[in-house]
Amino acid sequence: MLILHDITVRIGDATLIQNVSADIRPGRLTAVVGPNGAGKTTLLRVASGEMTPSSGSVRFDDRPLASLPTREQARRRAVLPQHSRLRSSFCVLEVVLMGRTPHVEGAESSRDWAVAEAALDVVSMGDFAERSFPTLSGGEAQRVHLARALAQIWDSPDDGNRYLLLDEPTASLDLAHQHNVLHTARSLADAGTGVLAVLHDLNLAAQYADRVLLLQEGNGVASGPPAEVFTPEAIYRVFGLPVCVLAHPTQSCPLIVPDAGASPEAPTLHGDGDWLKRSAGETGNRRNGETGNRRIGEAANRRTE
Amino acid sequence: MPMSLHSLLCAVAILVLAGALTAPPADAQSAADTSRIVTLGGSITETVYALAAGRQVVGVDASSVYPAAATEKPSVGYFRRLPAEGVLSLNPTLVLALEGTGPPSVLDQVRSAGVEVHLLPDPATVAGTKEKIRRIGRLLGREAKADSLVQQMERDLAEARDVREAANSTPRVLFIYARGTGSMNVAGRGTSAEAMIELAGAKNAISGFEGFKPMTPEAVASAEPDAILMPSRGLESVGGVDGLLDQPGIDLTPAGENRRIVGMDDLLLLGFGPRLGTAVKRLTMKLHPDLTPPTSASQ
Amino acid sequence: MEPTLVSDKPRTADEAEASPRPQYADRMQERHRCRSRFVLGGLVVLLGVAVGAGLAVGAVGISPGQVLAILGDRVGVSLPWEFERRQALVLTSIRLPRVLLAIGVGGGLAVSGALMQGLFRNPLADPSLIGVSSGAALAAVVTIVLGSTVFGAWSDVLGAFLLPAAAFTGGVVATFIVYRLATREGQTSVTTMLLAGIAINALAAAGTGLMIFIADDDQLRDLTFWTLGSVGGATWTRLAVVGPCLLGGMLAAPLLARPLNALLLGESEAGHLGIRTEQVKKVVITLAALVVGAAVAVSGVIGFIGLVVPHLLRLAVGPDHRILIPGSALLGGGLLLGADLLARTIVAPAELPIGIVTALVGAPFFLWLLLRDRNRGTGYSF
Repeated sequence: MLILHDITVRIGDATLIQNVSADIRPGRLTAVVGPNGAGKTTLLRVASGEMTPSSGSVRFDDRPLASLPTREQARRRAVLPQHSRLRSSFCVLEVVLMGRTPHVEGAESSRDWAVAEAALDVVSMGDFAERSFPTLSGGEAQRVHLARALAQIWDSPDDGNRYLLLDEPTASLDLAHQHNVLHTARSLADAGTGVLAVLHDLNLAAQYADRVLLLQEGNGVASGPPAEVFTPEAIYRVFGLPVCVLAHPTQSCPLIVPDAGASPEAPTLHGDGDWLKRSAGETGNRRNGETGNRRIGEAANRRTE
Repeated sequence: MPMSLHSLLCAVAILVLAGALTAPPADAQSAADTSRIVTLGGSITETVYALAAGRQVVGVDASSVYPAAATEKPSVGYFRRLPAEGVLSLNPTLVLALEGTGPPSVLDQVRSAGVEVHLLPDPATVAGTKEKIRRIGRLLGREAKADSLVQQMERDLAEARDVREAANSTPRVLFIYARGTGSMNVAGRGTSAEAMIELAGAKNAISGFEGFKPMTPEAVASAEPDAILMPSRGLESVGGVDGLLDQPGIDLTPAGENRRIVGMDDLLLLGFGPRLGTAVKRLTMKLHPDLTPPTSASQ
Repeated sequence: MEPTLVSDKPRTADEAEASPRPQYADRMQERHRCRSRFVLGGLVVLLGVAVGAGLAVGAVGISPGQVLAILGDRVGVSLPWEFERRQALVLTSIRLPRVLLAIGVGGGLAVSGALMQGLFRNPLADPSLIGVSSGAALAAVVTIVLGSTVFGAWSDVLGAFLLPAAAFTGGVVATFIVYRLATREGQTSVTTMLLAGIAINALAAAGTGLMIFIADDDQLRDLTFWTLGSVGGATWTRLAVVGPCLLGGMLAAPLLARPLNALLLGESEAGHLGIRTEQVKKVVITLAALVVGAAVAVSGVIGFIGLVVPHLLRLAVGPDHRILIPGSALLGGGLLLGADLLARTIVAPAELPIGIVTALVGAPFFLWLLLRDRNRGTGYSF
């Protein structure tokens, strides 16, 4: 288990996160959600060891994270960054092969190459193996980086667990690939990997995560299964956006639908282009209408109940 | 640290070697194999030619521009940056060079190929020039010829002295070394230019500093020179007399007002070679206002 | 709109492992292996040719047969070609150290360039970026101009050894200052280092300018020649002094290839892959400072090799540092050897400063690179 206990991160006068705790359990997909600037990425950086917390502890399979050599950490824990700046003209497969870095001494073995290709297949990019990386679209590049992360923790270590930390893995993907990526992450979790995913899209979190950690301005405001965390009150409190929480028509998870008729702020939810267009059209009709105001009032009432 | 120790040892070794070579004894007495000579330094080349040994010269450096015959010889480039193989490819038996020729490691390589290398001191004095000529004469086995060169020089210098005494004036002279208008330097104390000015019975207009310093209009004006002396190549590089007069500050000086700008061949003026007497005589004539009509400009 | 998954259902990691059907892996691995063998083998041959030419061509005529005979004679093998003592001397005490120095300096500069470009992830990075060249230049200029004041008449003699020692120290000190300025609490900011390098370069340039201002004519010419570089000062003694630095740097650099590849992904990404990035930075900077410091000390400032050679290779074989670094050593050595061959034969018996030759070849190439970059929409991918 990767345990973040009572983490506070301060840089200068700014407190990025304060007294936040989180468990990343093997076999579970934990989603971190919250508005921009809530400290989601900071939390992920603490979990990856990239950032040392000002106070609090990080334990990696019952050992302090800092006591584990960097390379040893890298064999058990892969990170998919929000966006990567690789501009070098490596082939796609060579980029995935870089994921094997913590495992190889000298040259990569045939198995390393085979693992890289299998990882590429997992993200449905198998046929791009020989393409030059800089020619890929943003979404394709993101999936290649996911494959690189998969190749990095392909093998289960002799002792302990594997962890995958995803920082907004769906940011530059189309609808189908968002689900594809989270489906992959879900499968990994089901196979015993501990997955932490920073997500913007609450519905993706609701659909794929076992646990959700809701952050607001550096504080953990709720934590638990999606159905418990995603209440209209909590979402309104954190995002300032009235929503309806419905039952998903086909899945056993909540479905969050914005109800922001007169909200002065743009919807925080994004990622699904069609949804945005549709909701913009609908809300446009009643932007200055009475309905919107009443609904905000309703939401506020619900919150105080 | 091994490097500093190593270099220190080498430095000491070379110091001993160099000391042995620059000291006057042994080598200077016996004539060397003079069949193929490389001369490095304008005044040395000039001296060797004046000693009628020009036919033995197989290579010179870039500063050897007189006599014209010397410029036809292969040049090994700048004398402080000698190419070891370039020098050896001329197959010399004797290398005559001014002090400061280098780098020392190249001279060592040349020596280790069995070539005799002599570094000659180059002081900007009459005595030093005489000694340089006599020493080259001894090395080439042409002592008599060297003596006659020195005597000729003494006669020229005496003549110059007579002229100077007749002139009965001590003009203030500003020496400007120029490589284009962007780079103009004036000569202070202790320079070879000052030595020549004094040999010609004049006075260096600059006494505030040693060596060369960039020229500023105010410094030029406050120096109040009666005449300005420049190597002729430098004078050309600033556009001749008219070009120089356009420079700020020059027109404020007595020299500028009277157009007393004297240009003289670089090597003749500053070489301190066998033509020293001629150079002093000519410079004396040019610097003293009562000896020449004021219109006289370059050459 | 109902969300649909992509047509072929993604397989899980375990499914994929169960049925690996490497379609590209084997072929690409083989191609990879062949490419590095082919490229490095080719460069070794190129370097061999350059060494042969460097030994056989020069102002003093020595035929290839005589070269063999002289070298054979040294190791006790007698060959049928006759040679003179002077030829043997020119070959063994002038050309041979010179050839070796050119290889060491050229290879060292090129490898340092590859390291710098990899660390800064910037195609314009070269060793001068971290202040090593300008620091060395300032120290050298101070030695040339003030040496005679401090050491009097001995300076001409001492100068031969004082100058390299001063240049080396100056280069290393300047790099150390740049590194310290960019390091806070054990974290080195590459961007700060770049900017600190610019500032230190400017300071050193000001100091150099001041020295030029007070230099006399001979010193000025010395300075000019020094800043144009030459490997003509090669002797066995000097080779013994700087050789370990140059050779050690070149041999150690390939160990950094994998970390530098990972760094191309970004600094934190490299960290996630288990690379200790702070340590990599420290090692790269130290290696570059030692190698470039030694190179500048013994041969003056030689431009463009460090910048252009890694680019040439990147164009030809791609961005993989595992080929780039050893390839740079070989190609840099070969190219500087070639440049030196030109420098010492074009105006023989005089010599051109080698910096002129490398800049003459390097500058147009660099311009071509820039224009090509501009004309290709995607740009030269680094």
